Amino acid sequence: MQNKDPKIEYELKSLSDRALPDADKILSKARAEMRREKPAKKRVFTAGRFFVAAAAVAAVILAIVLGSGIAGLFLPNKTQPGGAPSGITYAATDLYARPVDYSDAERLFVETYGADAVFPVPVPDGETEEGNPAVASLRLYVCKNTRIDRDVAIIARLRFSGGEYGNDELTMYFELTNDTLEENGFYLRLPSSEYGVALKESYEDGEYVTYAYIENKYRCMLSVMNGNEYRTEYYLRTLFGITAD
Amino acid sequence: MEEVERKRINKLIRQIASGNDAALTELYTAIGGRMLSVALSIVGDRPCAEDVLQDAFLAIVKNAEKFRFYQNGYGWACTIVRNTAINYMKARHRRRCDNIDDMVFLCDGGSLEEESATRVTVREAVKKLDAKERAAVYYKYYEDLTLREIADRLGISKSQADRLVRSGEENLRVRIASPPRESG
Repeated sequence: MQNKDPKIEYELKSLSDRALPDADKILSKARAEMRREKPAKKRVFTAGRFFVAAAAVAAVILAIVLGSGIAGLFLPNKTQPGGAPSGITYAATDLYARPVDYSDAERLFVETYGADAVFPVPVPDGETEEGNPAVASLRLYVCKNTRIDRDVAIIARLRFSGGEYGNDELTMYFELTNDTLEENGFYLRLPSSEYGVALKESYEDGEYVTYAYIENKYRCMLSVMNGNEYRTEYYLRTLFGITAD
Repeated sequence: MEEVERKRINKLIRQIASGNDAALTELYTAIGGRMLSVALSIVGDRPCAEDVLQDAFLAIVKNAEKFRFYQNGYGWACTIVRNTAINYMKARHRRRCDNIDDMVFLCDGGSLEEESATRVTVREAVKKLDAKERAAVYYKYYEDLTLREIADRLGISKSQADRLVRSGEENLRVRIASPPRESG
């Protein structure tokens, strides 16, 4: 989108703000919800809880002792992305996302994962199968972790339209290291599926949403939203060549 | 400036997700007026638009955790208020108003005597725009739509949408810079 004229934006905003109703009136429900969602919990420390906590501490110590000896033999080299997640997370607040064009994103992807890794992001207006949706829009971003001054992820946001089930909104988050964005941590805990990838289908706010975690040559966190139908099978097959067992 | 404002709005939404009440008020001050305009353009009257705005901010609080840092916070909030307004009309079996032509009435919050000369000028400048130009400017400045999305909404090509936006902006610029002289 071309930039907005600051003068026009300011004047129109001033015009709208003049009619702004009282904040307390408008925000009453929202504030009540905020208070409801963050109840102050009193923790009662019982003997049962003490036992569970002690067992947890013992398990962690045991895991560290065993892990330090054995993990080094099996864990992939953390400097080579594409393997299992390192267990290290980074915060969204450390990221700076910059829009990039397709060729830049693809080049970075191939540089990271090697020439045999195919960038599975379709180009807008590409040919599709009869009756299936076409790519209506694509936005690509590369995220730099400002804490370590390194590009750590590529994000592709796609909108497919024209299919029999209406529009689909896709987000593909490609990790360029073995670390994981904190808020994407739940992808690593998704249950395995008949597609051979971890995924979960859920219905949220009137949308059918699929979350999938794909880990092969690269690591991709995929979310697909559609107002009418789960679209898991279609996108796993067309974008990643993954089909059910 | 625009980028700074976008970052500020994104930051406010993240703070709302962590339960910051002050961030909610700040977000309301920053974008509430334009959100009310978006609601008004769909529901058509002010009391209903205020109901929608109330529900939209409730939805913002409920969904703030799902907001991703790379999204456009203002556009995200606009989508919420727009969907809330559409659902509001559906629930009451009412037809959507979709009256962008009247976007100038959105600011009828007080008497004209209280309104500064500049605001009268801006209001008049908007009113004098061609209906399609007005819609294009509205979609760009209030709903934060891209040229492609504006073209979809107006049923025209992207290049036509671009021309409309440019001519609307140019007309506004000229009229705001040189307000009509008062007669008498």
